[in-house]
Amino acid sequence: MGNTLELLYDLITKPKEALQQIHQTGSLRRAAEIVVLSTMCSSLIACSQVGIGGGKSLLLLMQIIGTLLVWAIAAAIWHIIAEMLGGQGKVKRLLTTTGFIYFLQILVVPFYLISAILPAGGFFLIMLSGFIIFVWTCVLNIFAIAEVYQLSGGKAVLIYLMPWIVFIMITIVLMFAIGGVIMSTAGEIMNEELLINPPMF
Amino acid sequence: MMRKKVIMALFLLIVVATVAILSFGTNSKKAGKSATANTQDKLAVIYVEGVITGGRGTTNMLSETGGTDALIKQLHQAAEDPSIKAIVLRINSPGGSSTATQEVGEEMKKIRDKGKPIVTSMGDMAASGGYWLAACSDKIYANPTTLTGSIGVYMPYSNWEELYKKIGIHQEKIKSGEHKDILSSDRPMTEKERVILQTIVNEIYEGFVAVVAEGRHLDVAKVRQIADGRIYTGNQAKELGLVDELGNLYDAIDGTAKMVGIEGKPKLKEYGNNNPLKALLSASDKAELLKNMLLQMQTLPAEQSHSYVPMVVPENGR
Repeated sequence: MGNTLELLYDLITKPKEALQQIHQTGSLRRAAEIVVLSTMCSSLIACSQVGIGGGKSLLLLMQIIGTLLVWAIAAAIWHIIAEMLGGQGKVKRLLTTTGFIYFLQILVVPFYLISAILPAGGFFLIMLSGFIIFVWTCVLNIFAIAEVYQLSGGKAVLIYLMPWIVFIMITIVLMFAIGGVIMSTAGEIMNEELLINPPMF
Repeated sequence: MMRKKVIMALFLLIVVATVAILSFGTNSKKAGKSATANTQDKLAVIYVEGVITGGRGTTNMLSETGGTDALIKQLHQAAEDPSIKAIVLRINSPGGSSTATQEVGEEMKKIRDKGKPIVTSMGDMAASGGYWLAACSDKIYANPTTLTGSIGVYMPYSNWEELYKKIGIHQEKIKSGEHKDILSSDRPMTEKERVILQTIVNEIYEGFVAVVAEGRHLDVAKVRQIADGRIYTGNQAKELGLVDELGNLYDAIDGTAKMVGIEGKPKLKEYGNNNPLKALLSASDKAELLKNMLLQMQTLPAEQSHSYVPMVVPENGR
C-alpha cells in the first residue's frame, strides 16, 4: 500500500518516472482497485451535484462495470494497434499502467468541495478542472503506450487516437446509410399520400 | 518517501470525506427541499396550442402536438394533485373539432364542480373552439390584441367533380342508402343533404351558444346576437362581456394566485411534454415517425385536412 501511495504521488508530480516504475513493478490487482475506487468517488460526487437520489446504487454499479469494460477494451484495442505498428509489450502491463492513470479522476473531487463553498463560478470551476484532468489523462495514456511498447511519441499518439478516428469514420458512413434509408422511406410515403380518398362516414 | 505517503494518505482522506459530505449531506438537504416543494401550494399551467383535434395527437422528434386525449389527461393530473390550487389554461388556438372541444369543456366543468378553479389566459388567438374552452373557465384574461370570438360552426365541403372530369376520372358508388355518401366530393350536394347538414350545424351551434351563455352569465338572445361567427379583439370582447380582464399570462397567473389565496410569487407546475428523446423512442415504426415529421411540416388549414367533422374554426384560422 505504501508503495502504491508513493507511485500515485509520483504520477502527479513526476509522471514519466512514475509510469516507468508502474510498468515495471505495478500490480494489476492494485490497478483494478484504483479504477473501481476512482470511478466510485467521481460518480458519487457527480450524482450528488446532479441531484440523483433514487437508483443511485444501480447507477453506480453500472458506472463501475462500464468503466472496467472501457478500461479493458481500450487496452485491448491499443495493444492490437501497437503490435501492428511494431510495438513490443504486454497487454497486462498496459492495463496496469492505464489503470493507475484512472487515479487522476479523483483530483476533481476537491474542486467540487470548493464549488460547494463558493457557489458563484462553481460550475465553471468544475468544468475547467474536469477538462484539464481529461487532457492530462490523455497525455499520460500516450506516455503509457510509449513506455509499455517502447515506441516513439508520434506512434503512441497515433495508437491512442486510432480508435477515435475509426469511430468517427464509422459514424459518418452510418449517417450516409441512414440518410439513404430515410430518402427511400420518404419516397414510399409521398407515393402513399398522393392516392387520397375522401373520408366516408 | 514517508512524506509522499503521508501527503497521499491525507489527500485520500480529504477525498473520501468530501465525497461522504457532499454525497450524503446533499441528499438529505434535497429530500427536505423536495418534500417542502411537493407540499407547497402551486398553480398548474396547461397549454392548448394549435388546432384542437381529438385523439392522441402526433409525436415527432422535435415536439409532441397533443390531441385532446393528452390535454384531458393533463387536466386530470392537475385536478388530482392536492398541491395544485388552481389551473391556468393558456389558450393559443384557432379552434378545431367541435366534439374534441366539447369533450375538454365537459372535463373542465367537472373539475370546477369539484372546487378547483380554472382561469383562461388567451394568447395570440383563442377563437371558436378556443373560445368554447375559455367560456368553460371561471375567469378569462385576454391581451387587447388577442383575436377571439368566432362563435359559430361550419362543416367544410369541396366539390371536385369538374376536376375529375378534366383529368378523366369517373367515380361510381354502390351504396346501401340514399345519404350514405353524403359530403362526397365527386358530385354536387343535394338539397336534402344540405338540410341534413344544416340541421347538424345548427344543433352544434346551439350547443356552443348555450356554453357561452352559461359560462359568461349572458342572456342566450344576447349571445346569439354576437355569435354570428365574427372575430373580436380582446378589447372588443371585454366590452361585450366575452372576456373579464385584459392582461397577459403573468397577469392571469397573479390574478389566479390572489383568487386562491397564494401570497407572493406563486410556484408553477407546467404540463406537457417536449422531450425529443422520449418522442424518438416512442415512435417504433420508421415510416410512422417520418410520416409524422412530414405532416408536421405541412401547414394546411383545417378545411383541407380531408376531414368532414364539424369545425369550430374561423374560415381563415390556422
